[in-house]
Amino acid sequence: MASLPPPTIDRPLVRIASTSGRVELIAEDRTDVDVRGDAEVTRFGAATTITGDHGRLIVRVPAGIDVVIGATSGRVDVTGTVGATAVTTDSGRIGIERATSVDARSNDGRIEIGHCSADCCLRSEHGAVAVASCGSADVATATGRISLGDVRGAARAHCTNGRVDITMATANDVSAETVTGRISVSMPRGVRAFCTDLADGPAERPDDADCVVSTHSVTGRVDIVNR
Amino acid sequence: MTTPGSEACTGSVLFTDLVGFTEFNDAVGDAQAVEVLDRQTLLAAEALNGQDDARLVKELGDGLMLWFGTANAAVDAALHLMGSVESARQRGAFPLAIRMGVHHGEALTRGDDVVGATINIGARVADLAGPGELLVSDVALNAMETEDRDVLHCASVGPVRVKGVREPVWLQRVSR
Repeated sequence: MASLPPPTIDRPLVRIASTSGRVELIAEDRTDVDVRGDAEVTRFGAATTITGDHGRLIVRVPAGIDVVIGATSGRVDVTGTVGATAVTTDSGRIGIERATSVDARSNDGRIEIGHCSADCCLRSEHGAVAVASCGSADVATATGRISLGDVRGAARAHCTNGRVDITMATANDVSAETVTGRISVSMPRGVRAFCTDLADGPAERPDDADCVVSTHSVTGRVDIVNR
Repeated sequence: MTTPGSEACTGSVLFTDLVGFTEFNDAVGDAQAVEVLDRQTLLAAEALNGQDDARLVKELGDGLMLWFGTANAAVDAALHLMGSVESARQRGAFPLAIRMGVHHGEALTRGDDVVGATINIGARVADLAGPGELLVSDVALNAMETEDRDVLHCASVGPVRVKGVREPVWLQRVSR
């Protein structure tokens, strides 16, 4: 019996837990949830919970629905358009084509996000993280490289000793920290960014600044450019 | 089942971890690194102040393990500690981010230590948290008093599997 979801869930939600099997979630024009593979399906309130084990799972869901997926070593692929999406793997790769918001976490697996229209929260210890376009971004890795493209909200990146590349699409605040890794921030042409070092504490933002770019690296190089 | 010298208990475990501490230590040297550890322990002691049946169980390298009689107390202390660390970071008074995880369940005392699957799961939950994040298991959230839980902002995070535990552990990212 799957554990009860907390009462904080108030929208239709599909929850999937697997171990080593690959999970493919396909969001499409339909109203029901279709599960292919060896799995236990339980429904409680607004939540449908699918618990698999080692085999491959293919789950078809209505487009736009919220999903929560966890796999140990299996790869997770989400195709189509989903709502709020949370995915966790230990070593499996995570790929999400298009979502409203994303929370994706992996230990060793690479994380690739196509388009996320709102908040994008990504965590990886050793896997690289790449986002093609997103609203706001909050990304942290230990050694995995961070690459954020076309960011349209605030961006926050924390990497212990990997490289951080951020390309901003709009004039929004950026905060990027590494211990040893290099940081590169690209702002749109004409944007006046006020640049500060996070280690110096708060600094007063000048009236003519469009945004604040706060960075800090203990030993790594920091480049902030207008393209 | 208990063994002589151990006692069954129910409560919540909180694990903390300083993100990038090893690399920070390499970069700045032992003296500054130890100062950071001392500061974390001090802030944790402040967060425990006034919480019933709460204690620092042990220090684990750059992290801490704390035990609480209730899930409410664990989450409250975690959010208090998070606020203290983030506030100090904004002032430039604390160089590293903290991450934390809370789980709730039965465990066994072993001297001053607390052991068992609940503890192992709590450690795994904290491993999954990012800098400045508190992750809480659904089990712990469901063990909280409704009025305390309702004031929290919760966002689903994918579940984790823990070796030796059959059921997946479902998680939420929690803030106030």
